[in-house]
Amino acid sequence: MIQFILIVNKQGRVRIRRNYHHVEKNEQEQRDSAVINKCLTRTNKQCNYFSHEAVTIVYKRFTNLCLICGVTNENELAIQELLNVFMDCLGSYFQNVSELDIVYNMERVYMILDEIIVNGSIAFTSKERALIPLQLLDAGS
Amino acid sequence: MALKKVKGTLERVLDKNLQDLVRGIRNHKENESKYIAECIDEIKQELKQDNLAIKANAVNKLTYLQMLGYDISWAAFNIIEVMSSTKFTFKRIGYLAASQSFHEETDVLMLTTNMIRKDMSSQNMYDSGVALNGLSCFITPDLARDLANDIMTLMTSSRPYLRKKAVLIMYKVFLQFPEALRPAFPRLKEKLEDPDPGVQSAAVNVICELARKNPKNYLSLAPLFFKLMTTSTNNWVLIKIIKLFSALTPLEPRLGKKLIEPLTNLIHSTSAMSLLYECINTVIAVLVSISSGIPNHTASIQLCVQKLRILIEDSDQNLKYLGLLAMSRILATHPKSVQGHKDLILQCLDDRDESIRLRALDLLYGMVSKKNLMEIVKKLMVHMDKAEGSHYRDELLSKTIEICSQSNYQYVTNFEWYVSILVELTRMEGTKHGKLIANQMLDVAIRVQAIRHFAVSQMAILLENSHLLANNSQRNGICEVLHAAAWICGEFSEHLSNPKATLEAMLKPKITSLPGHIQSIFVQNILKLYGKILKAAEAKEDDSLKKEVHTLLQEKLPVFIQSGDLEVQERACSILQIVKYIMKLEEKGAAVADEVENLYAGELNPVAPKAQKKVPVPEGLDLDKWINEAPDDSSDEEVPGNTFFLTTEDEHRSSYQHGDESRPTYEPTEEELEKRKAIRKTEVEHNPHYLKDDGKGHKPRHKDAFDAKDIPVAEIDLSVPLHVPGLSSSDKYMVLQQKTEKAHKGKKEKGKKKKKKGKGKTQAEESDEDEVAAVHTVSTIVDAPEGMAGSDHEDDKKSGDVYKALDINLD
Repeated sequence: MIQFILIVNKQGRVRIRRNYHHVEKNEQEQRDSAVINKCLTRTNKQCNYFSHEAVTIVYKRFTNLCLICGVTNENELAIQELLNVFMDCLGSYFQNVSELDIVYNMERVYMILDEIIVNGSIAFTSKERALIPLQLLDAGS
Repeated sequence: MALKKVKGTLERVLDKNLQDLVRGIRNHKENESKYIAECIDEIKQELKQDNLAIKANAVNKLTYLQMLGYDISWAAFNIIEVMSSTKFTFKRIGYLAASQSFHEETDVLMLTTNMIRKDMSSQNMYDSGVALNGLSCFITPDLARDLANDIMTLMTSSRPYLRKKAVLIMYKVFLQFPEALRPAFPRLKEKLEDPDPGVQSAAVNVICELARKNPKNYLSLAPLFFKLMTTSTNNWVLIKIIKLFSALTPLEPRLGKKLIEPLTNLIHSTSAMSLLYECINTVIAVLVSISSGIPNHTASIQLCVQKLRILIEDSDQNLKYLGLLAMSRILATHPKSVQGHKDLILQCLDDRDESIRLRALDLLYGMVSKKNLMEIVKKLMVHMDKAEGSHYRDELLSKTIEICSQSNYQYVTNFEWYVSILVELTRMEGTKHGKLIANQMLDVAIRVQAIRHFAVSQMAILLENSHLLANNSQRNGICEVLHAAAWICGEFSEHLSNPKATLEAMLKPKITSLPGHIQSIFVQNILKLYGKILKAAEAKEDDSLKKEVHTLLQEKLPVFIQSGDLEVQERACSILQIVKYIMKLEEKGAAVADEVENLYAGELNPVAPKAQKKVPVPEGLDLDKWINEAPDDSSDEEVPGNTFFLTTEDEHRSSYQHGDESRPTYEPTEEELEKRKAIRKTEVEHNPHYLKDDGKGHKPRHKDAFDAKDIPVAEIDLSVPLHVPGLSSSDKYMVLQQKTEKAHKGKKEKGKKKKKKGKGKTQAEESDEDEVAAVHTVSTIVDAPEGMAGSDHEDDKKSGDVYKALDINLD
């Protein structure tokens, strides 16, 4: 089950955060900063998973963003694939997504995320399917 | 009135929307918090307005601020207002804010029940979708109870989009409201056969999660899943199903047997690494549950190990990591299959990635044998030298010691080698495992009788160089090893070649810079050594030696009396008095060396870990009974308090003055000594802590200087060890072992040729292992109260109360 998912930029500022399991604010902050620190200091040569307090963290680095996902009892390679799919969706929606796109269109990003992951489980993995509601929304407004 | 309206509209025009807020924050990088405080004030104003559009905008901004870390729970009611809007965009914003910030404690959630119900039954698919999504983040037991029915109806909705979301939400509902599981379960089963593959996979997901906690409920579904597994081609679904099976197989071995066939097929046919990894994991789980071996199982294990080897050899770090992870699981049950790949694992130790190295270390733990222990440990020591992070170095150190001390030192053939390894380990800078090394030394010295002579000679040399080690006085640092060293020298002082020199080394003033507990050990062991020397001197009728030793002790012991640590003070005082008394007796001509030695007679054995618990309660003793009458709680609460304080003050003062005033009058008689000996013996038998401390005399360990202030730190290159005369190096033992191996191999050549062809390399290694004889034996005597039979294993109670409630019988 996916516990949480984060998108952070190179400096470690959180851009998108979604918890699928409620945690207290202090705990969450601590956990976030610890995990972000670890992810950002790892080099390219190291593998993309590590464990932090009984949760396995899978992360994926893109040019100036980092997608971090905390899971328990899931296949790590599958989660990596999921992060790829998510990034793909964002890319095709925003056309070459950059950090600013995510910041200014926060709600859209959350909508896409909610199509892909529901309640900690993988719901849709097809890019087209996930983008349909957004396209409807854009057409309507 | 009209003016207000105009003013209001003007202000609204100037409202910031989310983009402006973000831009503003980026522009105000220096005084960000002040700017944000202003914005929050503006937001509060906006929220007071009636217009929903404005409110929605404000809530949108609040969501962004919440992500930055600001608390927005004060706006909960406003968020609900926005959620209740009819326009989809506003509703969406409200639900988003709610899902980010609401949680079980939020009080206003009870207002939302009806609203959510309305949304879920709305005509617009996306409205219900949004409601379902948001609900999953803030569902409470009340909400779950009220809305469970609605969600169940949604599961049968005509739109697959909604069905899928509803199914996934049910899991959260079950967690909060377990009674919903029973009625919902048949519906869930139906969903498994839903025409839409998306809904199918959602159902699989939910059942997988549920089954992980309470597998026996879902065994009946196994045939259904089997069918799904063989017909589905979607990798994601397959992964989930296979994971589900690995949760189910521990309960049903026949299921496992049936699974092996399709799983091996999948392993052969798939090209997806993730699926391969999952299959291998499940095969391992299946084989773990099947106790007795069936012939084709070795084939499957071999297949798995083969595939894992491919994973590990891949250059992608991720695959390596996963391969090593799976290998360690196989290691737990089939160590022989893994041993053939030792070379690969050793290679992985050189990897750049620390987590891979740690995994390889774990694997090594199960792969040592008597023959390769030495080379593995040597390799680990070389790594320790090169290691960058101190955490990794500490890991290496503790792992090395764990590997060597497994199952009562089963694999250590030559304990002299092991002792020299421990000595070399003390040169490790800045480690926090000093206590561990100390414990090992004590363990080896106590339990391996044959090695005591060697160990003692090494410790003595280190004691003489203790000034180098004494610099680091950090807790649990290498100076803890002095603990062990002093005790070993004291307890087994019959093996010392030059007791007087060691005694002098123990009395050096530098010792006072060590932590208190180490100093107290020193002081105690000084007395032991003194007894030894005295005995030797008496046997030789060497009066001058006696006088030298007496003057030495009288000069140096007072330093300890002034120590800040109470234990040290106390021991030093008692010992000084004993020495003075003995001197007096000596002058009168009595030979007291025997009595002094009797103070420390008797062999100390390790105490079994649960011995204290096993001490039988004597008959007639009721531990729960009050010793005195239960005190009256009513009156006189003030007075006892005062007297309590008074008495402790007195005690305090008296103990401080103890050393000065009462000491001169204290003279131990013969009976006192006997009594003390008896008390000490009983203490030793009944106090488990005494052993853990494991030694009253710890030798000071010589550490190479690494006090950064005084002496420049030089990296010790283990390949060229610092040559302290007398200290043995571990390499010579390795060479020795290799020579004996070669001699054995020559004899075994003929034996090998006679072996059958079918047997693998592992079998040959096995028989070789039997040949390598242990040079020293390890004693396994432990002290325990009579009648204790083996140690119990206490069950650990699994804490998973949330999931326990889901453990209901569904038939």
